[in-house]
Amino acid sequence: MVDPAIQLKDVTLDYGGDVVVSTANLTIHKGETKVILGPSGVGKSTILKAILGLLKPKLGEVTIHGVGISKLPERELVKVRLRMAMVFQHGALFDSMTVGENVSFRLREHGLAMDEEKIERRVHEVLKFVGLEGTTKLRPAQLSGGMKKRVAIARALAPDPEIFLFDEPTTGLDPVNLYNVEQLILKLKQKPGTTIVVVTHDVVSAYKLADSVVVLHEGKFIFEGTPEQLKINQDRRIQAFLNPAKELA
Amino acid sequence: MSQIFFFFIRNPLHFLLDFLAELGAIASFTKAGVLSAFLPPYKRSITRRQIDSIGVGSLPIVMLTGIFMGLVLAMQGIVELRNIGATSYIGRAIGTTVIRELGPVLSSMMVAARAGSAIAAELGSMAINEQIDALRAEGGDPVKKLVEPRLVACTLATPLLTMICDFVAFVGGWIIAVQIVQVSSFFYWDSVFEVLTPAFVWGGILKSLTFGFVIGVVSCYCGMNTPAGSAGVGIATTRSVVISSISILALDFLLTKIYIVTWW
Repeated sequence: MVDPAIQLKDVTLDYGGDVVVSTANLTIHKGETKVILGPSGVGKSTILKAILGLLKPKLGEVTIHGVGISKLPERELVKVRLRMAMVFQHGALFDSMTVGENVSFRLREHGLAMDEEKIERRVHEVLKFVGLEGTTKLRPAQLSGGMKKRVAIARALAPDPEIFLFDEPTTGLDPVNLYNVEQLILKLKQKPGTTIVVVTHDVVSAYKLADSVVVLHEGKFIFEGTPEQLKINQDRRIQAFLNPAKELA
Repeated sequence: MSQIFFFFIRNPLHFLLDFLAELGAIASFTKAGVLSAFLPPYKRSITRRQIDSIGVGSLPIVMLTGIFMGLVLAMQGIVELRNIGATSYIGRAIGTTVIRELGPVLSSMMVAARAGSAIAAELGSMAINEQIDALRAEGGDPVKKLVEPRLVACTLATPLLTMICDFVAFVGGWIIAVQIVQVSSFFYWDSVFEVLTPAFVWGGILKSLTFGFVIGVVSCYCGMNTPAGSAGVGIATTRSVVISSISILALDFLLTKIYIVTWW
């Protein structure tokens, strides 16, 4: 069995005392693409924040490549975070910076690339990968929603992390951009050893992207398996989510 | 009956606990911001940009405040001084009032209203757009990148703005005293400089330095802790201006008391 890249052990997450995710257990192996599926507001994005160490669990432990991060001080946590990259739902690009500065942020901040020439070459490379060459001088305000998401993917790609976290990567995109973003994630999957976690409520995307799927319902995981197993699962809560027209009729 | 009893017991207790928790959070936020300013890496270019935005950006409104403050003080002062035949001492009256109290307080209030609100709104919109989370996700330190430059800029720019405000207020007083009431220009400036002793000047500078620091802390704290939702930025901005203004007034009282006991 491949080593787990990410593990959640009895994790409970809350916002100011309101429990959002309750005693969640999840293992994501190195090189696996795991999709966390569920309706809006059930705590999917909260799980990503816990994996990244942006949110400390109330109970339980999150481990990244065997390192427990729940009680790590911020300075140590940064080292773990640098092995991951997250693409936020709306891109979360830094408004005050250009596309180029956004993409090269981590490279400059943490000296991951030594000289300016190397940094610029890498920025060019990842922007080409997402199909946005020649946009380095633009500001986020000058980009469309789909472009912002692709720049966010480029920013995540630039430092070449081991783990990618995608928060609703296809939400709000037109069919062309949706296809482009899905293709980018599928391209990423081909890189050996890359672990990908995708949070989405888009069932069609989940089927396309996932090696395995977990379904989150009211803060608890109620299913874990392959997309094929999910399709034939007869749990009423899952069916109500996958085929609402049929179930709620 | 017992419910009513518990309501009155529990609510003040909750309020007190929330207040203490908030105070603790602000204290630890302040500590992080101050420590960050003394620890490398030093982001001087970001701080310079913030000083430009806060200092130069607030200059027109602070100068306007100063000129009107001087004009009004001179007009009011002359009415009172005329009764005792001492209009030529108007410079002294304006100097005392402006340097000690009104200069630091009013210019700091203007900085809180103009720059403090802008800081809270900018950080607030970054918070609700997940840019602060993204900064942390990219391994950046929001305190180093966002809080420290603004805190340093507010602390340094406010005393400078206060000094400019004070000078412009003297000019405002001069316009009324010399051009309208015909007080001798030499006598006006001489009486102004008479009160500008080092203790007076440093007292004013220290006050505005403290106010600037408080504006920086409050506006950054309110911005970084913006409630979620579209109304959040508005709430953070309002909270920042209100808390800064009240803190300035309360601290002015406290510092004046300390000065009176120790210096004056």
